[in-house]
Amino acid sequence: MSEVQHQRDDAHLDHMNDSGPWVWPAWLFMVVVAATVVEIVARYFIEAPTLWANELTLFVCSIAFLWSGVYVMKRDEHLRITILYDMAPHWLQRVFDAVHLVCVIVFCGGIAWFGAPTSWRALITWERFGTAWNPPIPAVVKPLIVICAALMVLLAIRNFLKKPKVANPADSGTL
Amino acid sequence: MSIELISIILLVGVFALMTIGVPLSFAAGALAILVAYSKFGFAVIAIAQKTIYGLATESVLVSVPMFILMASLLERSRLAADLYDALNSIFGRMKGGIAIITLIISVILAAMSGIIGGEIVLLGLVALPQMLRLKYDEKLAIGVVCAGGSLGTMIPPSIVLIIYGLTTDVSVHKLFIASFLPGFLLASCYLVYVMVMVRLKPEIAPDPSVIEVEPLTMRKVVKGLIPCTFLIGTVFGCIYGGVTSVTEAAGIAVFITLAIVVLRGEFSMKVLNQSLIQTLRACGIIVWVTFGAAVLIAVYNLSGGQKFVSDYILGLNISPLVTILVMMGIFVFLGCFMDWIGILLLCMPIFVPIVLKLGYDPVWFGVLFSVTMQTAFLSPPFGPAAFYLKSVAPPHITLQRIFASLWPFMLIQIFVLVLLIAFPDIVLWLPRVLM
Repeated sequence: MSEVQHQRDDAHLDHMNDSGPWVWPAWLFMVVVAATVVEIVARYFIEAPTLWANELTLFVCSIAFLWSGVYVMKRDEHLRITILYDMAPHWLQRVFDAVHLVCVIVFCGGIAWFGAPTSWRALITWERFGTAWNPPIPAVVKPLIVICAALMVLLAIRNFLKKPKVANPADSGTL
Repeated sequence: MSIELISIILLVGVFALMTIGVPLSFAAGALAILVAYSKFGFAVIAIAQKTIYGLATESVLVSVPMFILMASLLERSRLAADLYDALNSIFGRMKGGIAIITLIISVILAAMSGIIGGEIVLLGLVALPQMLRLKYDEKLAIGVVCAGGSLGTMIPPSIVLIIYGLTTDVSVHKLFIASFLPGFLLASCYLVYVMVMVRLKPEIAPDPSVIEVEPLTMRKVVKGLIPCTFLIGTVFGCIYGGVTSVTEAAGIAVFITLAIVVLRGEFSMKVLNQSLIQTLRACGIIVWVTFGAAVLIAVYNLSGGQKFVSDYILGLNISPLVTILVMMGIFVFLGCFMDWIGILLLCMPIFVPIVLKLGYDPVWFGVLFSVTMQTAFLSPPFGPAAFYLKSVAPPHITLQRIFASLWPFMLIQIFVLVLLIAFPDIVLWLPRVLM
């Protein structure tokens, strides 16, 4: 059966070997697990539900969600259909890549540029969530959206220059 | 710009961009921004950031990484293989035993995770070789692995239903309760099919009296059966007993899975770190597709798109049932070349309000969708289930052969879909009783 395990490791993609700051935010998911366990214990065993567990969970998860897009962009693995792309000749693929890049610039650039004023306001007024525990979720998450979107534009430009692109096996079945 | 023109630009644009390989997230998002600008001007583009902020701080979405993390941890454990050994000792001597075990184990795995890729790869590595070695009919073996492995998206906890609930504002808790009976109905239909086939055509499964089966030992029960039972029992208890929210149940599930991995002596920092990174990657894909599509839908609805489509469809004066069938047809058609998440995110915000106006329950519609997606997983030319199996199957099993083996199971899925449309109470009875 160890052979099975071995084959499975091979079947996996090389994203397992990533390390360093790119993947550190993944550990935020462990904060979610810990907070949930504390909340359940506090609610059912000590009968003193926490004020903070649910909001802490939202807070760290939103950070991880935003960063995850940057990480996937770094790996150039956003969900796409590659049937026609794979069949196209090289020059046409470069045209498709250019369209791809323009789309990223329009979307992520749009988020960053037109989201910046609200984000800046949220940051300098240190906008809070407006609940009992009142964490500064808007003050952190709104600017982070702008930063992550801007980073994604930069990474998309890098991906475009770094071609040739390899066939991308990512689809939601891997999820 | 008129709403007709916007509708056409968005529809044609999304498909054209996706066809040439632009990721769905950016195709949808970029078109949304262009439409927002040309219809309303620069100021409205801020809607993109606002939509993303709203989704990123959405409590329901937190359950997605939790269920993915749980599945990633289980993938790295030998728990499923141990479970297979234990079940083999129990059912191995039945006629068609391994096919039946494969189906049972797929239901159990489906109840622990909602990720079809991992399940099919696992069954393809553990169950398929044994069935082929014991001279099971190849088509039956392939069909059981692909159809069984796809059940993960149907039986709770299912990522498909979480995203459906998020997109359409339906309680995920209610969806999980509603999909319980239909999921098991589908699995039972597969089981009955296998049992009937091995009776009708005895040559497709080996004579069980010649098969050697190791006896069931206490060790197998402790290592394979008890952890799975405990994990599923707790998660289902939390969700169906209404003890915790779905999101909390997901966090608890990860905690128990971690405890099981530690107790089985399989824990290491590397295992945890790799599972977390896999989760981050999967999240990046799911969450950002959701962002892109949500921005598109937000802009479209701001332009009056929702009303336009509803008025148009309701104005056609076709019967409600036919409307539902046409929608199912659209899902199946799109499912031939698009992932479930794209179909869900782009169609549901438009379809579900129409479904509501026609007087149907959106919970029922969500369950119908998840059955339709089962068919999409198996259907040629791009059924993902077949591609996953191909990646681990012996070389003589070609994609054509896999697809040729799947049609009986697709017929069963369509049969179940018809049952659910004809008798909506199969879906709606349990939520009524429990909630």
